[in-house]
Amino acid sequence: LPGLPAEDDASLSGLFCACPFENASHYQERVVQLAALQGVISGRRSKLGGLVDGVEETMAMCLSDLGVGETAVVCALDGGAHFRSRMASFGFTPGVSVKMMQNYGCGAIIVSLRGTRVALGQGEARKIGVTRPQ
Amino acid sequence: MSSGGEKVITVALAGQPNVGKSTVFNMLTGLSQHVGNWPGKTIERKSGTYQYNGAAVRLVDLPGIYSLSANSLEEQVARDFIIREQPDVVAAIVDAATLERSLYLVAELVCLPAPVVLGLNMMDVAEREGIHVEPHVLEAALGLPVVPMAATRNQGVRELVETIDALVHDPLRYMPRRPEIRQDHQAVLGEMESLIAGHIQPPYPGDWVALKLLEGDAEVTQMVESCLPDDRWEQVHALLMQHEDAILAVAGGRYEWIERMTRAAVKHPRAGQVTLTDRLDRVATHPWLGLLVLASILGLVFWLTYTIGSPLQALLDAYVVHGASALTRHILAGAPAWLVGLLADGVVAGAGTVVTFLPILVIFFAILGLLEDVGYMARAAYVMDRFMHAMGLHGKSFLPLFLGFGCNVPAVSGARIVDSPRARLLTIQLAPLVPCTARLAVVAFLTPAFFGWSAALVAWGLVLLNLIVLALLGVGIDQFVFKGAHAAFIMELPLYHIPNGRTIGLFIWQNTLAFLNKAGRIILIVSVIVWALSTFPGPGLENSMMGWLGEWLAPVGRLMGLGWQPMVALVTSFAAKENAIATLGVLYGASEHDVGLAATLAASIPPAAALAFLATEMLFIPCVATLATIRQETASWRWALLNVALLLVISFAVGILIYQGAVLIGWGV
Repeated sequence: LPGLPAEDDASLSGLFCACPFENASHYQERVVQLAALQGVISGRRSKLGGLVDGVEETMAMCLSDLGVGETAVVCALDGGAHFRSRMASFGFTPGVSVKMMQNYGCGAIIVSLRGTRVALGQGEARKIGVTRPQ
Repeated sequence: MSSGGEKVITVALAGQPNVGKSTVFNMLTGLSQHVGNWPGKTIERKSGTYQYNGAAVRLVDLPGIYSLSANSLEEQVARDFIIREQPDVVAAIVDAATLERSLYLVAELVCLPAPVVLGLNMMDVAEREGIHVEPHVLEAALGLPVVPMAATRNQGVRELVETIDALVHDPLRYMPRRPEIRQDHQAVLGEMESLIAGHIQPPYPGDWVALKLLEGDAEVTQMVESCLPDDRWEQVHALLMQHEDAILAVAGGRYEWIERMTRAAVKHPRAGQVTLTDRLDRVATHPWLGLLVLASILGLVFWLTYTIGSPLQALLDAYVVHGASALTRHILAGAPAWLVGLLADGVVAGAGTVVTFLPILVIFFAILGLLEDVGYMARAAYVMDRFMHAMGLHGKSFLPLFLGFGCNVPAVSGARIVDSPRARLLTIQLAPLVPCTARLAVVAFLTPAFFGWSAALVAWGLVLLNLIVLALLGVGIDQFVFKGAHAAFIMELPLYHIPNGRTIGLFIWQNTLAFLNKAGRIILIVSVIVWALSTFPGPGLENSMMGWLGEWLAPVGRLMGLGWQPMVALVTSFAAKENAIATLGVLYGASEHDVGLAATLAASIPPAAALAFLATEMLFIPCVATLATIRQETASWRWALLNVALLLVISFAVGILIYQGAVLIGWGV
C-alpha cells in the first residue's frame, strides 16, 4: 500500500480502526488468528469460541444449522463491532441458550431466547456460532 | 406554566419497542402532546405535560430503543438527551412478560446519572402467559423503585406518577445496584478508566465513557480521541486493539446482572407450555398460511376503503368542497373574476383536496395503529421479508407500499415504520409507483372507452406494469446506488396483546394532524400555484401556462402518438391524478359526466396511443399531495424532486416504448 509504513504494527492497527471496512482483510486475519488460538475452526468458517466451558468437546456450528425445536448455546459472534453490539442488545451473547422456533432453510428464521422471540435473516444467523451438547 | 417561578420537572420516558411505552405516554399526557422533530434529526420527538400536586411535569418520550449504543440515530438521540439535558427522573418502562430482554436497556440507564424509576408494564400479559413477577422482590434486588402496571387497563399509571414525584423530592433514596463488566475484563476497565481520568469533560461520566470505549462505540471513541493528548490516545487505542471482543464482556456482564436481579423475582411457566402467542404464530408466521392471513387482512383494508372511504370522499367532494366553492362565488359576486377564481378554484379547491384525503387517511391510520398495537405488524413484515429481499428492502417496507394502493400519501408517511434510514428512503422513492385509487379511477373510466370488452384485462395489465416497474426500480436502486449492502435483519416478534382504543385513537389523531399541518399546507400553496398556472393569461386552459407546458411537451407526445391535449391532461394530473379525465373533458369539449366524452376520445385517439397514454398516466410523477408528503418525510426537496425526475423519465420512456412497439408490429395505429 502506498504511503503506509507497513512494518509498523501500531500504525497498521491505527488504520484498521480508522477505516474498518476498507481494511476488512486485516480484520479477517485477526479473526482467524484468534479462532486458531481458541482451537475451534470449523470446516466452513472460523469462529471465536472458547468462551463457554466444554466447547472443545462439542461441535461448533452456526445458528442457521439448528432444526426446529432444537436448543443450543451461543458461543461466538462473527462480524463487526456494530453487528455484535446490535446482536447483544437483542440478547445474543456467549452462553445464552437459544431455541429454534421456525427454520425453513431459506428466508428469515425465528428463535426464542431470554423470554422473547426474535426473527433474523439467514445471513445474520450464519454469523452466530452455537454449540449443541452431544 | 401554572406557577411561573417554580422549576418545571422534566421526566424522560424510556423503554424498548413493544413494551407499551406509548400507551403510558398517552395515558399521562393525552391531548397535551406536542409532536416535533429532534433538533437536526428526522426522528419524531414527542413531549407533553401532566399535572401532579398542582405542579406541571414535562414528559419527554424518548424513541423506543433496545440499548444505548450509538447503533442508530434513535439510540444516539435518547442517550444525548439523558446525558446533556439531565432530566430529573428517567421512567424506564419494561415488559413484565419479557423482563430479561427489556431490562437490558435499564442495565444501561442505571449507569447514567439520572435516577431511574422502573415501570413494570404488561403485568396482565405476563400473567396470561404464565409468567409471575414479584415487584417487591425485583425492587429490593434492583435498588430502585418498581411500579407494577397494566397501562392498557389504566392500572399503575397513577402510582408511577406518585413514585416519580417521591423520587424527585428525595433523590438520596436512589441507590441502584449497577451491572459490572464480566469478571475477566474488570482489570481492563479499571486501566481504561485511569487512562482517560481527568480528560473527559462533564456532563459525560468517566466510568460510562470507559465502558462505551470498550464496547467499540464509534461516537464515544471519536469524542475521546478529540479530547485526549496524542500519546494518551495511543495508549487507549492500543488497549482497545488488545480487547476487541470486550463488547461481549460488557453485554455479558449486563445479562449476568439481569439474571441476578430476576432470579428470585420471576417465575417462568414450566417448559413446553404452549402460550397464546405460540398458537397464533403457528398460523401467522407460517410460510403460506401467514401469507393467507396477510392477504385477508389486506382484503379487508381494501374493502373498508372502497365501502366507507371512497363514498365519504365523494360526499365530501360533492357537498363540502363544491358547496364551499359555490358559496365563495356567491359571496364574491361582483368581485374581479381573478379574485373569485383564486379563492374558489385555487384556495377552496386546494383545501378541498386536503379534506377529501381525510377519510382514506383516517381508515389507513386506524388499521395501521390497530395492527401495530396488537403486535401483528412484525408478523406481516416477517412473512413478506422473503419477497422484499431482492429489492434490498425488509419485510417492514411491504405495509407502507401496500397502503399506496389506497393513496400514496399514507404510503409515504407510513414508511416511518421502516427502521433503517436507507430502506426508508428507498420505500418512499418506490411508493409513488403503486397505483392509487385516483389513478385506478382514471383507468377504470378510460379503458372501457378504448378497449371495450378487454378493458378489464388492460386495466389489470397496467397495474401489473406498475408493479413490475416498481420491482425493477427497487432492484436497480439497490444494486447500483446502495450496491446491495443490506442492513442486518433482526426484529423482535412481540407477544400479542389486546389493543388499546386510546392508543390507537391518539395515533390516528396525531398522524392526521401532522398531515394537515405540514403536507396540507404545502398542498394548499401548490394548489394555488397550479390554479394560477392553468388560468393565466387565459382565457381557457389551452391559453394558460399549463396549456403551453402541455403543448411544449407535444413533441414527446408525438412519439407516443398523442396530440397536445392528452399531454396537458397529464400535466394537470400533477394537481390530482383524477384531474386527467376532467382536463380531457374540457379540451375535447365535453363535460366529465357526459357520456359523449368516452366516444369522443375513442374516435380521436387510436388504441396504441391510448395504451401509451394510460401507461404514462399510471407511472407519471407523484401528485402534489404525495410530493408534499415526500418533502415532509425526507425533510429535503432534493429527494422529492429526484423522485419527480425519475418518474418523469420512466413514464415517458415506457409510453414511447409501448407506442413505438405497437407501430413496429402494426397494432392499433
